[in-house]
Amino acid sequence: MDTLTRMSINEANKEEILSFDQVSYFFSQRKGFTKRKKFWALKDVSFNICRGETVGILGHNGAGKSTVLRLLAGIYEPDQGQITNCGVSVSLLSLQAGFVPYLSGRENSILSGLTLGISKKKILEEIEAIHAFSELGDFYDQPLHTYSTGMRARLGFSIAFRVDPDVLLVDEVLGVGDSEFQQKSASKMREKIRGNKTVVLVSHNTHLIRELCQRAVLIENGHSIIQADTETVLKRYLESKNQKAL
Amino acid sequence: MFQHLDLIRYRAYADLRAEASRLYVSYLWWIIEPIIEMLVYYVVFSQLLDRGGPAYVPFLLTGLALWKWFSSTIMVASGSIQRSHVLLSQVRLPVSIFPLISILTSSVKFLVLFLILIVFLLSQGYGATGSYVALPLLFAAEFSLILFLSGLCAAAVAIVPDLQLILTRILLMGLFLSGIWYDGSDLPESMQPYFYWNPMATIIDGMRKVLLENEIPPLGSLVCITALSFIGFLVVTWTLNKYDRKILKWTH
Repeated sequence: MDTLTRMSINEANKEEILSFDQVSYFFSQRKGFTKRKKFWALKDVSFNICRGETVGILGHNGAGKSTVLRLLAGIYEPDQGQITNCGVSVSLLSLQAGFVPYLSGRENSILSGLTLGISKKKILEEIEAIHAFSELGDFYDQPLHTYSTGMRARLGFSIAFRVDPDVLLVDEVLGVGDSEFQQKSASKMREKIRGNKTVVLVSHNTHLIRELCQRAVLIENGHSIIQADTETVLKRYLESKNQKAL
Repeated sequence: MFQHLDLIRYRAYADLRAEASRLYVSYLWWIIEPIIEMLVYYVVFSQLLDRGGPAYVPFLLTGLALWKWFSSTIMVASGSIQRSHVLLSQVRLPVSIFPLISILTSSVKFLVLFLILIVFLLSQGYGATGSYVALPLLFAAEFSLILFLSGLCAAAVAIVPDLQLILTRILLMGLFLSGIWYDGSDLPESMQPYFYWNPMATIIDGMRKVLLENEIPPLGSLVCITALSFIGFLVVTWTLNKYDRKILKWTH
């Protein structure tokens, strides 16, 4: 995608806060004693994010969408090209990050919150709200290894939801846990996304992308194919999906 | 790193709590495990090999306590970045904090062990004397050395995991070369300068002087070990922070 195309997308003169410029990233696989094989997960990917908008990232499995989010979050560093961050905090919504099975839900809330970059003071202030939101009741003070998968998911979401960066990166996670909690968490996420927050959302769910995103980027085989309004990108994505199915 | 101090402290607490929760006798293992280990050495060297007389047990235990702090911390810290690879792929965290968490965890256990050692020595008639003023310097020397080597080994093992196997052998060699079972002054005079090039031999020898002989250890050597190790730690931390994402990329 050239700079002109990208500039035309910013017709509303919104403030650009993050941009990918010809970004490439490879994973390295060891082949033998000294040999390594490079697998380019992304090649010359370019797009930009403006303040306050929700951008969807679309692509087939293995296209490189999650790698894009990790690069945006600063977890990975580009091997080629440049990522420009105009001084904003960026966080990937990570559920159950740093959980320790032998600690209680309360202790894991503090540990996971600190791991996600929330201050200890803020976690302690909000710990009862986390407890209430997770609906764990007395289990909150029991060790995590006694929890069901759904209970862990509820706790994970209740903590991660408290992270409040300038730019939130969401990888498929909208609703978690059993059907009731899924509705509750998805509704909270929708509320957050529809607010003033800048969000980058990765999803295969085209309805969700249409519902929440103002713009979208299509990534195929590690290349950014198009960045435009959501409808245009969705049309291109569905065409490519149909072609693959044939 | 300073912005992650709360995380380092809480993670160390969590590791200690988790370790204790897994075991039936919980925190008592911090005391039982080193006592069993020391008992093994005591039976072999004092009873079977009949070395040293009544003063040998305090001599042996002092050396072992310091060596255990050093070797177990280096071993745990060396795998710390590698073990945290999944977490590091989820959240943006500096790799340099993971060896520090291991160091804090091991050092808390060492302090418990050291207090038991002091109680044992007092029960054997070794009194707390003025020479104890040198204890902070001895702790600072060993702690700085651990800080320096832990970061270095953690980065190296993250990139080349095979190094952990080599490290096990190097630490075993260190156990023999640091004067745990013997006194450095018993070595041939020509060998002694080389023996004291090993900082752990100097620290262990210094600790015995303080605890068992009521003497002040060689302060110049200890200050030198502390300063050089701390500079090494700063250089390693700077390098880890600078090449942070590269280390993560090449971690296996």
